[in-house]
Amino acid sequence: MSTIALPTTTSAAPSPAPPGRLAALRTWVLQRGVLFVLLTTPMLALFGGFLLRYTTLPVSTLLVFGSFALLPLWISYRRSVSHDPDEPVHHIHLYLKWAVLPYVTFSVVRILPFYLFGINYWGVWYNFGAQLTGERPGTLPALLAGMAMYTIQGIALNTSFFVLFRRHSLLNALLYIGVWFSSLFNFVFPVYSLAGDKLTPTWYAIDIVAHFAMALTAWSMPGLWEGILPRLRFPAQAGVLAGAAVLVILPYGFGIDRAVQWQFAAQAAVERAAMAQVTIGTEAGPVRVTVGGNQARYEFGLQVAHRTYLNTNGLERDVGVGPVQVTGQIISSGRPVAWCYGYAGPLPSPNKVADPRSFATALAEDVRVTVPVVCYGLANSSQSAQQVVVEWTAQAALAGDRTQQVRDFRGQELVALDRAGPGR
Amino acid sequence: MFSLVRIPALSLTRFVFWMPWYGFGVGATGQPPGTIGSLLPGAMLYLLQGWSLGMVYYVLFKRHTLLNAMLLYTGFISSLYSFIFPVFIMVGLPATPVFHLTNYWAHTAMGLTAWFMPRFWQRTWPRLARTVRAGVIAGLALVFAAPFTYVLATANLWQFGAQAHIEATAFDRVQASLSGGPAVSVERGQAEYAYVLVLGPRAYRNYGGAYRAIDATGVQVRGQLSRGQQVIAWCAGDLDALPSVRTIRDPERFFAALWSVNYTRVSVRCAGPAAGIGPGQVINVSWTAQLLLQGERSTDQRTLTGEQPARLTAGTPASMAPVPVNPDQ
Repeated sequence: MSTIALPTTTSAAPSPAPPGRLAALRTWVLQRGVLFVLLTTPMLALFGGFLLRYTTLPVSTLLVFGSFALLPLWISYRRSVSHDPDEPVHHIHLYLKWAVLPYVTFSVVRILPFYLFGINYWGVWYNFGAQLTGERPGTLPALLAGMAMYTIQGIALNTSFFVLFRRHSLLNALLYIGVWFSSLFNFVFPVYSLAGDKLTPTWYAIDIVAHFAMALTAWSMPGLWEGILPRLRFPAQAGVLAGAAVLVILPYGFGIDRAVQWQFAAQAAVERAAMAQVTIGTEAGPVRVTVGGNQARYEFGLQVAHRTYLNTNGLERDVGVGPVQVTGQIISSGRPVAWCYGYAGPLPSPNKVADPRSFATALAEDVRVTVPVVCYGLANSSQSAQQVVVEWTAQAALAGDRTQQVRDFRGQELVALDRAGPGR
Repeated sequence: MFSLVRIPALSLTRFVFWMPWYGFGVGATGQPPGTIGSLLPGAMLYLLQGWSLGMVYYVLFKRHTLLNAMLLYTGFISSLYSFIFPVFIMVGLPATPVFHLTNYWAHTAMGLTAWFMPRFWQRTWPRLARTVRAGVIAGLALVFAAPFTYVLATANLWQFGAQAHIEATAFDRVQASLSGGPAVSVERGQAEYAYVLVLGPRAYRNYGGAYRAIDATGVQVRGQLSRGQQVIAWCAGDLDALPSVRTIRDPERFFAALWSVNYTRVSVRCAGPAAGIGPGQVINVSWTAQLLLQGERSTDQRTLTGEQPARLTAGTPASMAPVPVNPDQ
C-alpha cells in the first residue's frame, strides 16, 4: 500500500549531503518528537495518574492543559520555519480528522462481545470519570466524564500514529496499534488497574481484536478521506459522511443507552441483593468484664460479614457499611445489669483501592470486620453470674454505587463472662 | 504584569492576590486548599487563563490601540471580574473597596502592557544591540518569574505559618458545653436520657481575611450522669464529622451556612437503671468529647471535658438554649 500524497504549500529544500545521526535526531525531535509528546499528553496523564498512579488523575491531567496552551504555539512556530512538506505540522488538521474513526471502531467492535460474553467496554469509563471528577462510580456523571477522557485518549493515540510514522502503511499500523498498544494495554490494565476484575482469556482476545480493528481503520483513513471520499459524487459522499457520523455516535449512544436502560437498574438490583446478604452477629467468645470502683465494664464485638458481591461491570466490590450504631443490654437473671453502646464510622472497604494486588489483600482483610461494643453497669449487679444474655440492636447504613439503605439488625445470645481484675 | 502590580497590595492592605489560585487548584485537582499541592496547579491555571486573556486583545481587535486595550481590560474585564468574583466566587470573603481598586488597577496595568508589547517587539526590539537584547530578555524573564516566585516565597515564609497560627488559636476556642437539661423517660425498669452537647465556636478568619469554619471528624462523646456519688447512667454520642461549609461554593449561601454550623449540636444518649429517677431532679452531667479538629493546614486531636449540674426534664429531648452566632466573640 502506497502512502497518500498530501497537498502542501512548501517545497523541500535540496539537501547537499546526508545529515549526520545527531542532526537527523535533532530534526526528528523538532519535526515529530515534540509534536508527538504534546499530542500524547492525554495518554501520559492516563499512565501517570490512572494506571501507574505517580499522582492523581486530576493532577496528571494538568499536563493536557499545558499541552493545550503549547500546541498552537509549537504548531504555528514550526509551520513558519519548516521547509519539509512531510513535517506533520503541515498535516495536523488531516491527522486529527483521520484519528476519529479508528478510536470509535475500537469500541464499536466490542458491542457484539457485550452480548456474547457480557463484557462491557464502557465499564472502565466509569473509573476514568470517577477518578477525574470525584463522582460516584456507576453513575451517569462519572460515565460522561469518562467518555470525554476516552475520546481525548483515543484521538491522542491515533494522532500519534500519524505523527510518529512518515509512512502510514498497514504494517506500521498493525505493529504500532495492533501489536504494541494491545500488548501494552493487555499488560498495564490488568496489572495496574481493573481492581476486582477476574480477567479471562476472552477479555484479552476482545482487547486484541479491538486494537487490530483500530489499527486497520487507522491505516484505511488516509485512503478513505483523501482518496475515496473526494472522488465520490454528492449522494454517495453524503452517505459516507452520514455513516461515519453514525459510527462516531454509536459507541457513546450504545453505552449510555445500555447504562441507563439496563445497567443502572441491574446494578441497583445486584446491590439490594448484596445488602440483603450482609450479616451482623456476635463475635465468638465470652464477654470480657472488668470491675473498677462501683462500675463494671463489659466488652464484646459484633462481626460484620458477607459484604462481597460482583457488580454489573464484572468487578468484585464490597457493600459499603457505616456508620454502624449499636445499642444493647447485658441481662442477668432476667434484668438488665449493663447498657451497651458501640459506634463505627464507615467500615474499611477495598472499593477505592485502585491497585489490583492491594485490592485483593484489602478484600480478604475486610471479609469480617469487628465493631467493638462496650457496656457499663453497676459492679454489684452480676457478681455471681457465669453467663449473661447479650441483647443488641445495630443500625447500619449500607451503600452501593447506586443504592443506599439503613438496615436494622438484632441479636440475643447467651454468652459466658470472662472476669478479669481491675488491673488486667 | 497583572500580578506584578498587585505585589505591594499585600503589605499595604493585606490583600492576598493569590488566594483564588488555591481555589483554581482545588477545583482542578481536589488537593486541599492552602497547600502547595493546590497552589502550584492553581498558578498553572492562572498562567493559562492570563495567557488566553492576553491573546484575546490581539485576536479580537484589528487595531491594537491604547483605547481598545483600555476598553477591553480596564472597562470590560475589570467590570466583569468586579461583578463575577464577589457574586459567584469569593466564598466567605467580603469584597472590599480594596479588592475592586486592585482589580481595576491591575487590569489597567495588564491593558497597558498588552498595548505596549507589539510596539516593543516590532519597533524597539529590532533596534537593540545584542548585549542590550540579552539584558532585556533577562529583565522580561525576571518580570515573568517575579509573581510566581514571590507567591511561592510568601506562601512558604509567611502564609503557611500565619495560617497555622490562626488555626491553632481557632482550635483553642472550640469548647463543648451542655445545652439545656437532659430529658428522661423511664420504661420497664430502665431510664433513658437524651441531651445535647454544643461544640463551638468554629468560625474564624484565615490569612487572607476569608471566613472559614474549623472542621471536626471522629467526634466521640462519652460520659456519665450521676446523682451525688452514684452513677445513674452511661452516655455516648458519635458523629463521623461535624457539618462542614467546605463544599459550599455559593458566596450568597456561605454566611448563613457558616453561622448555622458555628455552634454544632451533638446528640448524646444515656441509659441506666430506673431506681428513683424522674423529671425535676437535679443530676450531674459529665462528658468527655474527643474529636479531630481540622483547619486548612493543620489538624489537632482534642479532648474536651466538662461537668455541669442540670435538671431533668420529662420525656422529650432537652430544651435547646439559643446558640450565639458571632464568631468574633
